[in-house]
Amino acid sequence: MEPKNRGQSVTEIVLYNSFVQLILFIILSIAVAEALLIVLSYFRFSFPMWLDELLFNPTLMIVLLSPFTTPDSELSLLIFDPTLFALLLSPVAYFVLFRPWVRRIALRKKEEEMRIEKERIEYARKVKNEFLTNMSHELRTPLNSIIGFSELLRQKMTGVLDAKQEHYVNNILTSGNTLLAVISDMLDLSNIDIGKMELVFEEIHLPEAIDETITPLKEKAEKQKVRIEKKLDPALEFINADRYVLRKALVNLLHNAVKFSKDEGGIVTITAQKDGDMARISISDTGIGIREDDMNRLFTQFPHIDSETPRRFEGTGLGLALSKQLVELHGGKLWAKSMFGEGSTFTFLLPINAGKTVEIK
Amino acid sequence: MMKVLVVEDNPLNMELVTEMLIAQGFITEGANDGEEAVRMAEKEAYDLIVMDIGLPGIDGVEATKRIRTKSRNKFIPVIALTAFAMKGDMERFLKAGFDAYLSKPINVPEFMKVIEKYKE
Repeated sequence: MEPKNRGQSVTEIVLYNSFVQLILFIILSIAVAEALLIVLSYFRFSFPMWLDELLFNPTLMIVLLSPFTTPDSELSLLIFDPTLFALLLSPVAYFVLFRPWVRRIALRKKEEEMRIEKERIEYARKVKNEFLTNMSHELRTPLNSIIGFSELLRQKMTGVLDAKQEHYVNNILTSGNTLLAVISDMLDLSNIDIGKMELVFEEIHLPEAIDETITPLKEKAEKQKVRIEKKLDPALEFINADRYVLRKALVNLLHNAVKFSKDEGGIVTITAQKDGDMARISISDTGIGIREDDMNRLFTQFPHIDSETPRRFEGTGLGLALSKQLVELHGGKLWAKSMFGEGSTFTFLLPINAGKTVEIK
Repeated sequence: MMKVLVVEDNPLNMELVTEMLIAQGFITEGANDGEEAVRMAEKEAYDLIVMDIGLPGIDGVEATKRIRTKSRNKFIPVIALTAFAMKGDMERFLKAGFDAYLSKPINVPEFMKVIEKYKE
C-alpha cells in the first residue's frame, strides 16, 4: 500500500522532514537501547534502575516529544498519515504490549533460575549426605581393628600381659574409643546441620534408660571414688521420646559429671522430675565447676579453642554442643549452672509426650 | 561344632572376627565379598553367617537375600556386622531381614553376648 497525503509519499516526508527524522531517531534509539539491554540482561549484566526508568518512562517520552507537536510544524502532516501515525503510536504500543511481554519473560527466567538454585542446593545436600555416610564408614572400619584387637589383648586372649603392656593396651583402647566418640558426634552434628537427623519417638521407661547409662560408668566412678546417686520422681515413669537423643544427652552429661568430679568423695546426682508436660532431668556434680566467662563457650563445638587454659575443657569434645542441639531438635532445652570450685548442674527438659504427630526431617 | 561363614572384605577385620569366633569355639570360613559368600553358602551348610554390609560388588543385604533363596539356607541366622552405624541404620538392617545388628567398631563383650545366643 502506498499511503499518500497531499501528493507527498511517506518516504519523502521521512527523508526531508527533519522533525520526523528526529522523532524516528528517538524511537529507533529506544528500540535499539532496549534490545541492547535485553541482550545484556540475558548475559546477567545488571543495568542500573535509573537508566531503565529514564529510557522507558512514558511521561518523559511525552515531554521529549512535545516540541515536535506544535500545530504550525509540518508534523500536522503526520497526524493524517496512517503509517506515520502508527509509527508515533509505537512507543505506546511498546509500553502496553512489548514491555509487559519482556517483563513476563524476565519473570519466567527468574523462576527458572530459582528452580535451578533449589535443585543445586538439593544436590549439594545429597552429596554432603553421601560424603558423611561414606566418611563414617571409612573411619569406623580401621577403628574396628584398633579397638577390637586391643580389646582381645586386654582380655588376655593371647596370654598374660605384664603391667606395662596392659597399661599401653588400655591407652590404645581409651584413645580408640575417644576417637570413635568424636567421629560419631561430628557426624551427628553434620546430620543436624543438613537437616537429616530424623527423630523416632517411642515409649521409654525413664528409670531404666537412666540405669542403662549409669552401668557402663560404674567402673570409672568407683575408680575415682565418685558416688552416683539417683533421685527419681515416681510420677515420671514413661516418656515418649527419641531413644538416641535421650541416651546421648544422659551419657554425655553423666560422663562429664563423673570426669570433672573431685576424686575421693565426689557425688554425682541425677534428678528426674515432672515439670508440667516436660520431663526435667538434672545432673549435678561436686566437681571443679565452670568459670563464669567460660559459660558462653561451653556449648560451642570446640570450647577449648581460644581458651587460655585449654585443659579445663579437655575431653568434653563435641558432646555438649551435640547434646544441646539434639535436645533442642527434640523440642526441649538444655542449660548449665555452676559455682566455680563447687560444682555444676546441667539440666535438660524433654517433652513427655513428644511428637506423636511431629516428624522432623 | 558350629560352622560360621564370615563375610568381610577388610583382611584385618576378617582376622579379628575369626579370632573371636574361634575363641568361642566355632569353626569359621571366610568370604571376601558377597558373590563369594553366595557361592560358598550354596556348596556348604553353615550354622550362622556374620555379614559385613559394605562389600565390593553386591552388598551384604543383597548377598543375604540371595543366600536365603536356597531352601536349605532359608532360615539361616545372619548377623549384620557393619560400619554403617549412623542413627537409623540398625532399624534399617533389621528391617532388611538380618537377625541381629552389630556396629563396627566391634564392642567385643557385646559381640560375644550376641554370638552366645546362637550357640547350641
